[in-house]
Amino acid sequence: MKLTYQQDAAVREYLNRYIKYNEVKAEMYDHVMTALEHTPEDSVYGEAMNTVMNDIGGIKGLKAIQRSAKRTVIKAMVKQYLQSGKLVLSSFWMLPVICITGLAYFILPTGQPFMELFGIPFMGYLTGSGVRLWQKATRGYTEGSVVTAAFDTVVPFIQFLPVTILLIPKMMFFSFELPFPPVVFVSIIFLCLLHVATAIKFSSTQFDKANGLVA
Amino acid sequence: MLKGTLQTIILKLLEDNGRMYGYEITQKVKEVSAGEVMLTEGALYPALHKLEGEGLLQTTSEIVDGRARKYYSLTPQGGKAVTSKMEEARAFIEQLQNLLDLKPAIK
Repeated sequence: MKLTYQQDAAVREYLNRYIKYNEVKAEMYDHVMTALEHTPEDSVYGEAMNTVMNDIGGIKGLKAIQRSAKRTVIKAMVKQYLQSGKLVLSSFWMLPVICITGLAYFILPTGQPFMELFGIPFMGYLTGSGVRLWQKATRGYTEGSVVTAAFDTVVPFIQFLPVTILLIPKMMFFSFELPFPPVVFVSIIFLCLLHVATAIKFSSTQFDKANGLVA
Repeated sequence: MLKGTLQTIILKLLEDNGRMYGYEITQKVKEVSAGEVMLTEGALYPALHKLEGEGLLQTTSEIVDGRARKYYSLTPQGGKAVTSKMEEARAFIEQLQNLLDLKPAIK
C-alpha cells in the first residue's frame, strides 16, 4: 500500500515518541515503511500498522531494539576509547595537544610530583582522545554507521570518564589539593564540553541531513 | 527456534547474499522456510546489533526511496565465524539425530 502524507507523518510521530536515537529511528522508520509498502494495496492503514508493530513486539520491542543498539555503541565506544590509549603517543603531534601541553608546562607550579608525573600526560591523553572521538563521531554520523556514530549520551560519558574518575572524587572526598590549578581544571572541562558540543551538534546535523530528517 | 541458531542463520544469509537490510532478512527467512519460520523483528534487530558489536558485521547506509536504509554485511572476522557456526550447527543436528533416533522422512 502507498501511504498518504498524514500516514507517513503518523509513523514518524509514533517512532519519535518511543525512540530516542537517530540511528535506531532511521532504521525502524525504514523497516516500518518497507513493511507497510509490501502490504496489499487495499489494506487498511491502522490494521497494517498494528501487524507491523506486533511483529516488532510493540513499544516493548522498540525499546528493546533501542537498548541493544545503545549497548552496541557503548561497547564500541569504550573499546575505541581504550584503544585510543595506545594512540596517545601518536596523538601528541596534534596541534591542540601540543598547545595544551605547552600551556600546562608554563602554568603548572613546579615541585609537585603528581603533577609532573601524571598531570601533563593526562591532559595530553584527554585532548588526544577527545580529538579522535570527535573525528570518529563526525565521520560515523556522516557515513550513517551505528558503531562509529557516538550517541549523544555516550560521548559525554566517555569524554568525562578521566575527569570523573580522577578529579571529581579527589575534589569531593579528599582534602588533597587539585593536581592542577583551578584555571587549568576549568580549561580541561571547557575543552571537554567544547569537543562534546561540537561533536553532537555537527554530527547530529550531518546525520539528520543525510537521512532527510531535516530540510 | 533453538537458542543461538538465529545468529547462525543471519551470518549464513549474509554470506550467501552479500549485504542485506533488516526487513529483507525477515522476508528471506520466511521465503526459504516456506513460511514455517517466522523471524520477529524484536529478535532480529538486537541480534544484528549484537553481531555488529562483536565485530562480525559491518553496516553501510544508503538513501533508498528518500529514507536511510542500513545494510548489514560480514566483516572478515564474520566470514570466519560463519564456518565455525555452521560446523557447530551441523554437529548439534547430528547429535540430535542420534539422541532422538530420527530417520529421514520418506515422502
